Amino acid sequence: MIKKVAVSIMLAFVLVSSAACTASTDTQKKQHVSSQLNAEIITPESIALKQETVLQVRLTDHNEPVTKADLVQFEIWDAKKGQGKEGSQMIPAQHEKDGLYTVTTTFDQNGVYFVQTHVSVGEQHVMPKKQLIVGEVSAEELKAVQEEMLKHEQGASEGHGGHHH
Amino acid sequence: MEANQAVQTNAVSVKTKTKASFYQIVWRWHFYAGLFAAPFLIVLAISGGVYLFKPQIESMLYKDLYYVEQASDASEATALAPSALIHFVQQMHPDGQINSIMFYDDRTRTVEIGMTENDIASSVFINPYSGEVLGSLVSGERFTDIFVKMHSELIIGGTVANYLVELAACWTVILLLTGLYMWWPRNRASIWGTVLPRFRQKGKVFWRDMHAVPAFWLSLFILILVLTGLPWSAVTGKQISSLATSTNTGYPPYALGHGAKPESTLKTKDVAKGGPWATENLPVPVSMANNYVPLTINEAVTIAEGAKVEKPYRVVLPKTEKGVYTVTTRHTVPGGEATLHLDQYSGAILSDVRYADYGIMGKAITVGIALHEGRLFGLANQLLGLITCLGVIGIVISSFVMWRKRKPQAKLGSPTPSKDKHRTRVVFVLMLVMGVLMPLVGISIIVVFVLDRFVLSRIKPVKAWLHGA
Repeated sequence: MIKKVAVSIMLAFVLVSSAACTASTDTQKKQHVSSQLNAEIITPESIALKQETVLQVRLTDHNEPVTKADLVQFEIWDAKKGQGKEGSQMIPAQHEKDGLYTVTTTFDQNGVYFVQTHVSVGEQHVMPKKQLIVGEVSAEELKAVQEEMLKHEQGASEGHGGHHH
Repeated sequence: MEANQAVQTNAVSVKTKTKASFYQIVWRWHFYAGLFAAPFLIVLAISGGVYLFKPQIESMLYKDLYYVEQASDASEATALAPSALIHFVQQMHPDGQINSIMFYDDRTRTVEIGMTENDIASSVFINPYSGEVLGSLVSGERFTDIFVKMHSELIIGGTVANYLVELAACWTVILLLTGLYMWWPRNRASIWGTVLPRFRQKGKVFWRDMHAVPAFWLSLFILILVLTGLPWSAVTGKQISSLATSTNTGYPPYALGHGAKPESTLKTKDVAKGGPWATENLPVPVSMANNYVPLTINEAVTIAEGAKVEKPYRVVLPKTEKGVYTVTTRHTVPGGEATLHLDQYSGAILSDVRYADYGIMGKAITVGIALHEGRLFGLANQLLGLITCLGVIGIVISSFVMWRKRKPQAKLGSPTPSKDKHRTRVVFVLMLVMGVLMPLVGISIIVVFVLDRFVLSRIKPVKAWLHGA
């Protein structure tokens, strides 16, 4: 009696595990929230001082142009202020066509700048940034910018509110 | 009438003989299995019993590193930006490569920054309010790390030790099954000697009860500990995960921070080269104009919190130009798990997997691991684990006493083999079935069988000592 019970339990075990092993493998679960939103910042080759400069961002989602973004903004700040975005300027962009969003701005000083685009499309957000060089910038100035960036990072605590409650 | 009675007596005796014979065979298996597993069980019980209390032990031992000195500071003060904390640590360790930053949900806890310096990985603890670096601990050298190593690879380490632990754990399942068979009341059911020990008895009966009764009570907990420990094992663990993968019930892609990761999109070839990536110590040579710049750790943290990732969590910094920011939570109780991969240039959430996204086996394994480590339901879970560990030690001790009492001077003292060839074979086949379910058990049975059949039984003294007959 005990033997029979034991044998049938064992058999059930083996059957279940072998059945499970051969179960379907093709249905891969849906990819969980994977952002396919892409923002490509387009800037002129060289930027001249005190002249209207056009900055653009091309938005695609799954390689299709995004024509109805919820939010497209350009944030521009002087690299001498580091990555703390101190004194940054926020400019809303206009949709031109085919997912191309544009702002026009003027740089009044030579130097290195950061341009960051803040883009929201539904639940997706992206915020790529580029660094720009405006006018003539010497190697020394670049070095100074770099050092300044480090110094600012030390004390930087504004604008990244995320981590303190 | 007389004939009838004779038949009845005969039937009874046949039945008892059957049981006695099975008992004898099962006892032999139980004996050899126990002899092998006992030393490992002692090591696992002691190391596991200590490791259960890791949070309490480490909070005490490393109080000065884990907690900010003035707790009152913490309630008022504003924390510095993550990039600033990283910068302070970098200043103290100029050659260190910063890998990760971990934030705890306790405001009095320090921030833990993972760093590699001269090929040595360590954690640096920093006061997030003052930026004061409090000290560091080398990874794998914390007090409880010793017990983890003992628990999983017997200190000596390596694959062999890992396999031995798994083998002992699997044989423990067989010990439980054979033990329960022997414990099962055979004649008339009595609570004495089954669910309660016969304290007044002396000698063999007393020790038998000291072994079988607690073992019966703890059998379920021991089984749970073995089963929840198996996902870590090399052979069975791999089987479990492939079963989960093939049935799509495990973890979705990119669910685990230490597993495969997606890649950041290099939009153009003009991404700023050079590093270190971690420190945002960006080179700005002229040729690098119009480059995409990786997001700062501060931006990564803001994105993570915006995606409702709750502390405690760790952010692993991108290691290469195609790397990602990986955010993983470290919740004690399952449910809050989250693993996010962020594109380091755009901040796009490339993948976001939560506990709710796990398959049924993934959830079961996650809960099982928490239960095994005593995290699932607080102190009660820890105490239950501790009782089981102490019980295992006691069960091994009582079995040892029973064995010494029975063991003759010149022999191993194993139970005599049954003369019933058929039943011996039936039990052997049942064991082989167990061996299919737990491959290491199967392999060990075959190895021992071959060794015994073709080598040991040819050496008379060894045979006599081992087999007791």
